[in-house]
Amino acid sequence: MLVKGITNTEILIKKTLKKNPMKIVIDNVVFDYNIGCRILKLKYETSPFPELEDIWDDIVPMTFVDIAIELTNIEQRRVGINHLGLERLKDEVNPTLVSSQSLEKETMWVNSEGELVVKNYTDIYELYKVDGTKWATGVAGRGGNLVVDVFYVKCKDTSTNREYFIWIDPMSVQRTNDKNDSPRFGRSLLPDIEKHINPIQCIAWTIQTDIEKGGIEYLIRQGDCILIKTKPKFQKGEVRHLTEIEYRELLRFES
Amino acid sequence: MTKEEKNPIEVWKELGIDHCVASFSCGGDSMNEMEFTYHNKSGDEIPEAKSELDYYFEDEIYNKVDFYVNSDGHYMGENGSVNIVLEEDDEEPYFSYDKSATSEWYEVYSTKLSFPVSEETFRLFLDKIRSLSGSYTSDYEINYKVDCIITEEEETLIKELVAEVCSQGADWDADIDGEYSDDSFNYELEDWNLLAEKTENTLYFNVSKGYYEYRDSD
Repeated sequence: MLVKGITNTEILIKKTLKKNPMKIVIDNVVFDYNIGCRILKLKYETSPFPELEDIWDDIVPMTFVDIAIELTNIEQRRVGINHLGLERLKDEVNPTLVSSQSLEKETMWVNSEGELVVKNYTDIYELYKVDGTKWATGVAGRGGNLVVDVFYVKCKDTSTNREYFIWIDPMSVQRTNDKNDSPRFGRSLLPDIEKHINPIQCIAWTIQTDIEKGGIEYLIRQGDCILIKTKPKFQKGEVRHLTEIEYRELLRFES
Repeated sequence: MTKEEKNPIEVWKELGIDHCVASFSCGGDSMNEMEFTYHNKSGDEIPEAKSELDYYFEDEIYNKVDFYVNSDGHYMGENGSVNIVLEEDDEEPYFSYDKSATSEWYEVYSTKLSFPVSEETFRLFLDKIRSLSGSYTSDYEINYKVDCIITEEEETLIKELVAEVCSQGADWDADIDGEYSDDSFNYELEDWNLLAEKTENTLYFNVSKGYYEYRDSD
């Protein structure tokens, strides 16, 4: 819903869209008109375009939940979260920082003179939990619906300095890194799943490959593009998530 | 006596071989299968020689001849043949190897095409669009200069221009003997502000195509 309780404005927008479907570009990312208006409302105090002045006051800015649910495109979500800002985000869903981990990294960059230089930096990963009741989603099962908390890992793209929030499936993260390879946990683990996972496991989990464990020589990361150098006798298998150990030991270069 | 214990030069003579032709192709960081054929002076093939001598030349040829297998996106590979003969003029007879091959190279050629456009399209590109690029087989990508509203009419103008670029780009061919690589057509909008020579209401695109070229190999 673009505006709240303003039937005339809704009608006006519908008429405008019918006559002239538009898209809105924000930070070089294209949004559908409705969502674009609501993101603009987060970014600007006043209407940036004359075309929107009539309806500007009636546009309802997107909330964190709207962004998380309605924006499936990760670049759109990045722009949305960026303009929502951390303060508004915290006010809305009050995420809890579960744990934070950092990795000291070294990579090669080309400086402005075109020279190859070694860059040392600290990569910080943070795991957040959002109270499940903020989402009102449930897991059907015996005893009725169980409202589950949701988790995201916050990380930074080292080359662009952009912050990303990536949803993770904590149960899958736990299974991926379970050293005992124990049978899948059931709902009994849900209440304190955050005690069984960490941020590095979560960021590693966001990378998937069909190369079986032990078959990767090293990994190179450029933004969200991961290159895998395989060992000579690697095996392919089911698509799987990377483990924390692989992420820590095999990631060589990042940009 | 097994074939490995026999002297290959003696076997060569016993079978009346005049020369051997090793056909090969390589590239993509590996050798493809090599095929040896043995011939007498009349040029007739001697099929029984394969079982006697292939094992020897399959190893030895790599000690005597360089094959360039490593592709790098520019150099693709080579194919041809190696002519093997027995040299008996010297005190010690020996096999000599003469490679004759063609190498394959991937070269990209480009040109600048100009597109007269309406004032509306011209302003749209100058005011809102920083870059536009794409290929004949994929969608185009746009980088915008500013936050803006893009109307359906403006999208249509962009699509019409892209269609025209693809059409004229498809007609353009580099003036060379190479073989056009079907999926290699790319285009990119030139930054109007950086152009030295330009005309109002005209947009310029760099169009490039890749060609496979063949040259005599070392």
